Order: sequence, then C-alpha cells, then structure tokens
Amino acid sequence: MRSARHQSAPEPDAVDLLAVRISGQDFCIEVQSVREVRAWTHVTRVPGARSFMRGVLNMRGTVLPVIDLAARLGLADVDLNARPAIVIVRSEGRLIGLLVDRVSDLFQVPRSELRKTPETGCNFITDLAPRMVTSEKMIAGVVAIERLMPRQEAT
Amino acid sequence: MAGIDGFGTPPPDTLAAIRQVFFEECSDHLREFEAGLSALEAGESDPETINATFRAAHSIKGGAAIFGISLLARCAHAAETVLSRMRDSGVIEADAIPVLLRAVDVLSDLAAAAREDRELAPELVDQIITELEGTGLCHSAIAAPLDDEFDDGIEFTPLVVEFESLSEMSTWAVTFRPHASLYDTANEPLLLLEQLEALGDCVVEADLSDLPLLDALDPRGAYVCWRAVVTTDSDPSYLRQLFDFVERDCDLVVESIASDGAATSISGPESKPEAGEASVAADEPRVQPARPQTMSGNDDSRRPSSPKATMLRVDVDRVDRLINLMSELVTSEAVLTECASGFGGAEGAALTAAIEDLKGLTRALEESVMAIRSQVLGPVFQRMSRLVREMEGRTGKKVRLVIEGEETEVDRGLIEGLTDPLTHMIRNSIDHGLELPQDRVRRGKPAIGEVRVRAAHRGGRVVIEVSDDGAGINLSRVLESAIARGRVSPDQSLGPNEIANLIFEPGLSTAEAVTDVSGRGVGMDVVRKSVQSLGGRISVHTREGAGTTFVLSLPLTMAVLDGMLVMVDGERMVVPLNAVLESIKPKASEIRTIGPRASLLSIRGEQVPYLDLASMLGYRSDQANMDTGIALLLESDAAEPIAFRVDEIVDTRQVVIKSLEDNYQSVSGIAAATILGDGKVALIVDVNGLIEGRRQNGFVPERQFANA
Repeated sequence: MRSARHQSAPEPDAVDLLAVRISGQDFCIEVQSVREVRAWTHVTRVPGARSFMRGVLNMRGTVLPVIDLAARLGLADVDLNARPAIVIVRSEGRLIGLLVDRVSDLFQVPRSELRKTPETGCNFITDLAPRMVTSEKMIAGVVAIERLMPRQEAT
Repeated sequence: MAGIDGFGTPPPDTLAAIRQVFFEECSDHLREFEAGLSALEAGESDPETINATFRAAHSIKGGAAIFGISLLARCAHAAETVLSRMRDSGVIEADAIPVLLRAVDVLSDLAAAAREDRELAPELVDQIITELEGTGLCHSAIAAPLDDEFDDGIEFTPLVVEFESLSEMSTWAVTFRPHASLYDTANEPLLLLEQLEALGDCVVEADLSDLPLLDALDPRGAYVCWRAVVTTDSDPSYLRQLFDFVERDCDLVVESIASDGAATSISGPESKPEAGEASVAADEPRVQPARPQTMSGNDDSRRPSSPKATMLRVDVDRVDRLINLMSELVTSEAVLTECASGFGGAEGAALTAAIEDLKGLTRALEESVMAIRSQVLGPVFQRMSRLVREMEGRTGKKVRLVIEGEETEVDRGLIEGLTDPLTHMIRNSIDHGLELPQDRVRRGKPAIGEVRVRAAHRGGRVVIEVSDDGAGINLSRVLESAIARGRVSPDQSLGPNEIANLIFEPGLSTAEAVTDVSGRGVGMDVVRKSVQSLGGRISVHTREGAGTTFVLSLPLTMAVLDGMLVMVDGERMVVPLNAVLESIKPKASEIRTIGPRASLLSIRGEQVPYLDLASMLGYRSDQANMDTGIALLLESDAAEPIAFRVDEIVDTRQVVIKSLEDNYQSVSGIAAATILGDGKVALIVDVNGLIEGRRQNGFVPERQFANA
C-alpha cells in the first residue's frame, strides 16, 4: 500500500535528481523538469548568440535552443567528439536542451539533504546552482535551470 | 453513474453557447451597421445600403430581445426607427448620421457589457435615445413602449398602427399563430408584430376565437392568433425573415393580396390557417405564397442576397489543427523529396514525377486552408472610425478618416495583433500630426485634417499605410531628444528619414507637449515591438508641414513561406523567395572592394553594395572571398538595392515557419526557423532586418552581432 502511494504522489520531502557529468564535475538536475535525454545531433548555429548557446535543435517539430551546460557554468566546452548527451528540460514554459558530457545517475534524496551552496566568491556558480546536494552518494550543485537562459538581449 | 446524472438535465452550457453565437453575430451586425452608416455618410444613397444598415440594426434588436438584454434592444430599436424613417422617405438626413454612429458606439459598449455580464449605466442609453429622438426621425412614442413590454409580458389587445401610406407597394396578409413553445422560449410576439409594422402600412388584429374561458385557460398555453395586413415596399422574403427566430414555434402564412381589394378573403377571423389550403406549418418549407407565380423566379434570384446560407461558423481551433496538419504535410513532403533524391533510373524519375504532383496538390491544399483563415481587414479598420470620433471629441480637432483597401485579406492571427499598433499609430497621427482647425486654416490647409489608412498586397506581403496631412515630425526635436538620451552621438550625420525612424527607439517621443492621449515616450517603440512580433516591419516617412506616413509591412501568412535554400558558411539557411529579385554568379571583374570590409557589385552599370551574409550573421570572422559564391540581389524596404553573398544555392522550396521565440528568443536578422527534410533546423533570414541592423549599427552599437 505504501509503495503504491509513493508512485502516484512522491513524498514531498524527497527529491529525484538526475546527475550529469561535465568537465569532470558532477551536477544535478531535478528530474521533475526533465523531459527526455537524447544523443548529440547536429545543432544549427544562431547568430548573435552567447558563446554557450550551441544552437537550435528540432524535437518533433519544435525548435528549441541547446545550451552547453559546461560552458554556461564557466567550465571547458563539452567535447562533441566524445558522444555527449542532450538533456531536454522544461523551464518556465520553454523547452531547453542542455548539452552535457554524459548522464551518470538517477537517485532520490530527502529534501533535507539539499543545502544552500556556500559562498565561494564565484558569484555565478552560486547564482546558477544556488543549492547543492550533500548525500553520501555525491556532493554536487543542483542547477537552477530557470536561470540558465540569458535574458533577451535588446533587438 | 455519470451518464445517468447527466441524463434528464439539458447541458448547462447550451444556452451559454447560443448566447455566444448571438454576441458574435451581434458584432458582425454592428460592423455592418457602422459600415453602412459610413457609406451613407460618404454620400451613398443607394436603397440597398440603407436596407442593409437597417437590417443590421434590426437583427441586433431582435437578438437582444430574445436574450432579454433590454437596454441593447431599446437602443437598437431607436436607431432602427430612425433608419426606417430614412428608408421610407428615401432622404438621408446628414445630421442624423453622426448621432447614429454614436449609437453604434453605445451599442458596442452595451453588447460588450452584456457579454461580460456587466451592467452599463442606463443613462448612456437614455442619452443616446434622446439624441436619436432629437433627429426628429424617432418619436418617443415608438421608443418608449418597448420598455413596458419587457416588464408586462404578453399583451393581448389588438394593435392598430397606421403610417402614412406610400406608393408602389404590395400588400401581404400575414397570419401568425404562435405555439406554446414560442412563449416557452421567451419570444415576444409583440416585438415581431412591431417589426412587421415597421415595414409599412400595417393593420394587426388579434384573433381571440380560440381563447377559452378563464377556468379552462392554461396560463402557459397559446390561444391568440394575429392577422396582419401589411402594405410595404419590402421584399417578401424579408417579411419572412422577421420570423426566422421563431419559425419552428408558430404557424405562419404569408399571402399576397392584390391591390384591387382581395384582402377580405383571408382577413376574416373565422378562417383558421390550418383549414386553408395555402397554410403551411412553419417547420416545413417555411412560407407558401398564395400566388406562387408572383414569387417564383424571384425566389432563386434573391437567395444569394442572404449570406447566412453560404457561411459557416467554425471553431478557430479546428482551422488551426488543419493548418498544423498541413505544416506537417509540407515537412513530410520535404522528407520524401530528400529520400527520392537517392533513387536513380526510371524508378527514380517516376518517383520524382509523383512527388512533383504531390507538391502541386499540397500547395493547392495549403492555399485553400490559408484562405479559410484569411479575413478582410475591414472590421479592424472600422474600429478605427470609432477611435477617430473619440479623438475628435478629446482633442478638438476635425478629422476625416479615409480607408482604402479594407477588402484586403490577411491571416486572422495578424488581424488580432494589428488592432493595437494601428490604434496607436492613428492616435499618434491625430494627436501629434494633425493641427488644430484654426492652425490648419492659417497654414492654408483645409480645416478638416485627413488620416488615411490604406492596405494592399504588395510583393507577397501586406502593406498598411497610415498617413496624415498634419505638421509632420519635428526632426530637430527628435534628434535633440535622441542625443540627450544617448541614442545618437552628436557628431553623427543622419538623413531625415533616419532621424524620423528614431521615434521607434524607446523613450523618444514625437510630442512637443505630453497630452493625456499619447506622447509620454512610451509608444512607438511598443508599436514596433508588436509589429515585429507579427513578423512585420514598420518605418516612418515625414515631411515637415506636409504630414507623416507610417508604413507597416506584414507577412501574408504565418505558417508557410516560399524560400530559397542557400549555404552560408556551412549552414543551410532560407532566404524568403519574395525578397530575392535575382541570383547572379558574379565575375571577379564585377566586384570592387572599397575600404577594409565593403564591396560593391556592378550590376548593369549600377554599383550595388555586396555583403557577405555569413559575416553579417557573425558566422564568419575572417574576410570572405567575395570573388566566389553567388550574389542574391534583394528587394528591401530601403530604396537602394542590395546584394548578399552566399556560398551556393541548394534549391527553392516551401518551408514551414517555426517560431524561435517559443523556446528561445527573437534574433536580429533572423525571421524564424524551419525544419528541413532531414529533421535539422534551418534559420530563415530576415532580409530587411539585416539591412536595417547594418544601417543602425552606426549609432546603436549594442545591435552588433557579437558572437564571442
């Protein structure tokens, strides 16, 4: 009975996380916002875009942008020759692809194991990953996907 | 369980749905009403125009009465009465038209209020009715009784009204026997009879012979039959139309009576319609004239005049679904074409031929589907006449609104998005463009200013111009203001049009004084944004003292586009075919380099700027080899021709437009995206956006395509 209930409504104080690997570091994305994970395919470059914006991709008729998550977090660009993956997430009504080296794990942690990311002096990491998971499994920043898209530049 | 629950009770939203249809029709009628009045105001006196105007007012009244929206019905009734007098006398009272136009405004407000279940102050209605009565064409005796009818319900007394008789009329005997269901559905026979009276000379008698004694009377029953003899110049089909709403709930007989006095044969109260040979229940073929020969022949020819029979109201979602499917079809076709290119020999040729056929069909289908979604611009423009009237009142300026090309068809998506920018531009023209009457006279212009709205299809786009003959934009002030706000550096030299177009920059205003209507510097930049979001462009041309013209250019459809697929630094891109005038493979001798990065291409003796598309988009940072590649000579909004260099042309094809903004953002120089046959995304070049961007780079540095 209990487990059945778990399936329909996950325990509010547990968080499902998808762990990804970029530039040798672990980061997590809340599974709740993940739509699918797909293999790397060619993306179309977009003029005037920031360097971490790899381009746009067609997912079943929808055109969506692909962000190099490593570049976005200030790390070395994802190596396209190493067969990277694209994690498609939904954030504030938009679909966004996140380019990562690979998807490494799927796990659940109690919400109590999510902490505020300590100030390291690197502002944009604390901005883009304001919380981190500190379980025995891993210690990794949880990416705030709603902050990944740059604000619309003036057109 | 749910099925049983829902069984006996009628679906609760049926009435709401009918109401919805009523309001939609009501707004159609209001538009017809206003269009008719505008035509009359412009001096048209064709009886059909008056009739159409009258019918519109009349339909509003009828519907409003059925739904018990008494204020709307009262107001429409008063307007209708004025119109019916004009129609009868054949004289257009010029003084009454402005009052009627104001009545349209009140009616629109009333309809909008009723739709949202809001209350509107009855004083508004009283005031307009008083004004309508002030025209001398509408007597309070006619406008007032309606009020009581709504309160008292059914009136059983015979009603005899006689208007002055008019010549050249035919006489009709109408027998109208309501069923109980007519009352159950909240219809009011008096309203119908009154409409009958409005047609001309009319005598109505109530036949009470079926009325039982009080103890046998079912209060919900129907016992009264009315007989009317109408002498009218109206079309008999119109006479029947009056009873359209209740045709299933009554017995109705309309018989022609020769003017030599045959009327006695049917007006006797004892001849029941059921007994007569000519009587026909209304739910069978509606009306059987007593002398069919007088109607036959006429009937068929008159049918087309009633547009309702050939129109179909369709839920927009269904059309949109159709368009989505069509887009998918175009994409599949591209996939098929891609696959077929791998086949050779006779099979390949047959396949290619079959695909060509498919393409033809797809295109025909697409045009038909888009035609469903197209709507004429007329209703949007008509809304502007109200705006102009209100602006006249508020600014004290005299304005003549001239509308051209209201029959131009555009996608309905555009129609919705156009209202705001158009409103803003017209407001701007009246508030800032036109001068006060005395100033205009002093400058040798007619006291009445002119605002002209013109729409036309031009080069695969819809072009809408809003022009005024006012003072023009004060360019030195705009420049001053732009410099003060740091949009332009003081040492830049700009042409007059460049300065004028600065008004689309945020924070700049054309206004010398901020008024309550517009001119707070939040305006034209918002207009440009909303036009751009429709895939359009806007520009302004002005001559000091002579006036200002806004030019809006919009795509025809928002779903598919004819494009030229080109290669640009390894990327496939689509250039809208309607922008390409010519493609040229230039010889090295035809290309001149001037300065570090600029080239000119000589085409038939003319030197045309020749720009590398890849560099403009920031794809290529090094200098392209201009001597290789293909030149596309492009048509742009700018007067001068311009050519873009691309690496090669792949083919021309139809592409389905996909939004970039949905998941990403708008990109300067890019109109939208599309999906090619192999599932990859290609971007669609916004030719004018790129040219504009290049021109503006000079003074708006952050516009540059910085690709780090």
